[in-house]
Amino acid sequence: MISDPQSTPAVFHQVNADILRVLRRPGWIYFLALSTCLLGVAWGAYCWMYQVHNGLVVTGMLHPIMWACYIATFVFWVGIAHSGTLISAILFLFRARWRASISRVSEAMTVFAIMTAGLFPLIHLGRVWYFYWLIPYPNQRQLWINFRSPLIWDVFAIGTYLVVSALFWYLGLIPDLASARDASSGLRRRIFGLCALGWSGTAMEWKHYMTAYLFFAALATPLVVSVHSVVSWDFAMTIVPGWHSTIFAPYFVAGAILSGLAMVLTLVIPARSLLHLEDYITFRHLENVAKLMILTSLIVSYSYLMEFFFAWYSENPYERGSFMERVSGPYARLFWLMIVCNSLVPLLFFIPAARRNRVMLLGASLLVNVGMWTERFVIIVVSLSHDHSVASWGRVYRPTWVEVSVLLGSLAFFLLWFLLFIRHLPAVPMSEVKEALLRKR
Amino acid sequence: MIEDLQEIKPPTSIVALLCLVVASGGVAFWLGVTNRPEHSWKVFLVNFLFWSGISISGLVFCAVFELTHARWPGPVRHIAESFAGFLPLSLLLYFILLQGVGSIYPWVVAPPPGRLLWFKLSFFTARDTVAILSLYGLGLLFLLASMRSRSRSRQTGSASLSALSVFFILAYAIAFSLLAIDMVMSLSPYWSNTLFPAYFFMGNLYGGIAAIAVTCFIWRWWTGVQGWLDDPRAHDLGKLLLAFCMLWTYLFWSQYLVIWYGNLPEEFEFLLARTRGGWRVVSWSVLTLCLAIPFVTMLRRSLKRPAPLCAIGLVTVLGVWLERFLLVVPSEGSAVSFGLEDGLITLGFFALFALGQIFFLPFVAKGATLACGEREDRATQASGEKIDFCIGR
Repeated sequence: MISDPQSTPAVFHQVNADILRVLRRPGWIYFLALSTCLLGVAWGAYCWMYQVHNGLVVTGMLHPIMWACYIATFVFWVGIAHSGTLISAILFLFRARWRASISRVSEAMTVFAIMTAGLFPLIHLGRVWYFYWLIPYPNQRQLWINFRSPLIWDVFAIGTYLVVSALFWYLGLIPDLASARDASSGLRRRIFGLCALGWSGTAMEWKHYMTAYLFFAALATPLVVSVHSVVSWDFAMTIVPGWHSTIFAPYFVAGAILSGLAMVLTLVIPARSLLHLEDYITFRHLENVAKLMILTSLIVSYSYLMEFFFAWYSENPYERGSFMERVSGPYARLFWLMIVCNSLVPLLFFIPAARRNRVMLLGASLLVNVGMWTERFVIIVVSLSHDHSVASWGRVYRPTWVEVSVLLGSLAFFLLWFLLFIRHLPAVPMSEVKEALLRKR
Repeated sequence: MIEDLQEIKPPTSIVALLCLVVASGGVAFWLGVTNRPEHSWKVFLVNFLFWSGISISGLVFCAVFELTHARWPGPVRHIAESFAGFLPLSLLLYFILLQGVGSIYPWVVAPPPGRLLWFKLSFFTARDTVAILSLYGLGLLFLLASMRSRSRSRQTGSASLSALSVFFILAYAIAFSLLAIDMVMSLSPYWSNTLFPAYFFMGNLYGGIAAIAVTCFIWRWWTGVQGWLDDPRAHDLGKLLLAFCMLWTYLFWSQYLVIWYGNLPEEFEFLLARTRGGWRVVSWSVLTLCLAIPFVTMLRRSLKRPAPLCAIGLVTVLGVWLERFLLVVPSEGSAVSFGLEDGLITLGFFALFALGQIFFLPFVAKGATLACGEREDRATQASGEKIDFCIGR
């Protein structure tokens, strides 16, 4: 279709038609998926309310394992939020033009993942109605804020990241919203017109747009690194064995990007088939994401290796004990699952045939998602269960049905937003695809 | 103007001068080892790590260019490859360094009781020798494959060269992590830091990209051929320098913050030895040279041009060398000391590196005429005009 030797305006018109076609009335599969997600969110919300009513006693947390499933899920979702900025901002700065087709989906995923992550500090609170105590300003409550606490850094880092990611996403949408406005009628036209901010595509508008995009990309790049670094410091600043480690910041950032890229594949592979976008999101895009996964997986594996080596090298009995607990303690199966999923499965992508096989890509990305959640669980729970307090060794944490329901509810919450997004906004950036086509021709 | 790359012959006077500097460095080292063995061997170690790191980083960048299908480097790639000319000398210097291990490392006399096997001298020598030989061997294979690929069509052998690039980069990360642990961290055998090995090998790349920029400019100035470092390439190298400056700072900060916050004696000791007395000035100088100056200057487009880039590159190279000096030389309660002998040893290493680079460049640039071609210049991109960037014709 787009490879036909047509004139440029006709090809551009075809691009608009193909991508905006997705915004028409969806089929029953879409409504089924949407209903399932709504049910999942409702069940998760009910379980949370149940926990609010009965207290944290309904969870499996027990001293000293007071950070567990919820915090692991919080870190997991913050990590998922990283690939959007990687694909949109960092690859943009590197002039990797292949990013265009999947950048919109990744950016949207970033925003929804932060929104989901933001729920977990609240869910984790015993008395959620005091949640605003987390926010230091305005200070009418005369709080004595401990600015040396990484938890406060988290509030600032994640808040800033949410604002910048949302603005960056919206900025990229503006030309496409104008295209959607021009192609629609009635109320939709008015809504798209309002959101497009009167975009008319003049040379001056494009000049300002490109400048703003470049500035946002330059701003978002250090921000994305800082966010997960700050999250990692929630752990590394303590002296808990298994947590107090200088490599945590880059290790968490690499892990976050790995999980984010895996989630991009998990969402994009079914979406491109269901929305008939195979001409725009091609195997070349999926293959490049797989290559990036190899890189980040190798960094994560290097970090695992360094952690274990230095646990032995330090001669610190607590450190050595904590890592031995991971390998052979009650959570050993999870540890080995994490190694297989995060360190071994992505190595499959060294084989070109595996990178070009849809089933392999989807299967591997799902396993990496599982592996990355497990990694956070292992880091948090195993380290706490084997800390300096020898008397509490041997206690085993198991998530209750409430925690598992809330975890699944958060997945439904994330997917719900994603489903709403792909049917109401252009999922592929039309302006960037047109630019790429023009360059190709 | 130089017409053919392979005809580049360094002036005899420069070669003679460099040989003289090498000889002076050798004499100074011999005198130093006689009078202050520990200090002189440490200065030798600093230079071995620094110049070997810069040398291997040239090949690492070429491997990255290969994997990312980077088309912008052009002759910058030849310069980076020519850094490998120092690797045979580095191997020789490594075997000399092994003679001084007893003077440098406290664990030779008093090894930590819990890690006797790790700190056994024979095991130390065996693992580091295997690491260095494997890395340099893979580097040589990569270089030969890269040169061969230039004499063939682009597609032929591209997959095997990519595979070799991957193995070479992995070998670099592993080998230099081991060298960082054995040659630097073991100076304080009870100090452990999980990020330090990665910080160390990324520091090589930071110094390497700065050295590439400086060398490109020197060749441009010496041969009068602008193509060695034209404005668009200087701009790209400037951006890479800025990126590595930020990465270096991030890795430094990630270590410092966690150690400062944890405030554990076994971690802080290493930092205290490097931030007390005269070493405080050295520490601040490292931050100024490696962070403040490159960061502030490379943000400006007007300074990402050949001459300013060369100046900033020089500052960065000096900063990375000083950082290696700060990591290796201080010990508990020692004062800053850098005498004439130390300067001559350092200049001797520089002269060896320069000789290796000068004599190796015509060899690696053999396929240059095939690698050259037409490159779209950004200034003329809009009009579709193309400019010739080949420097070998």
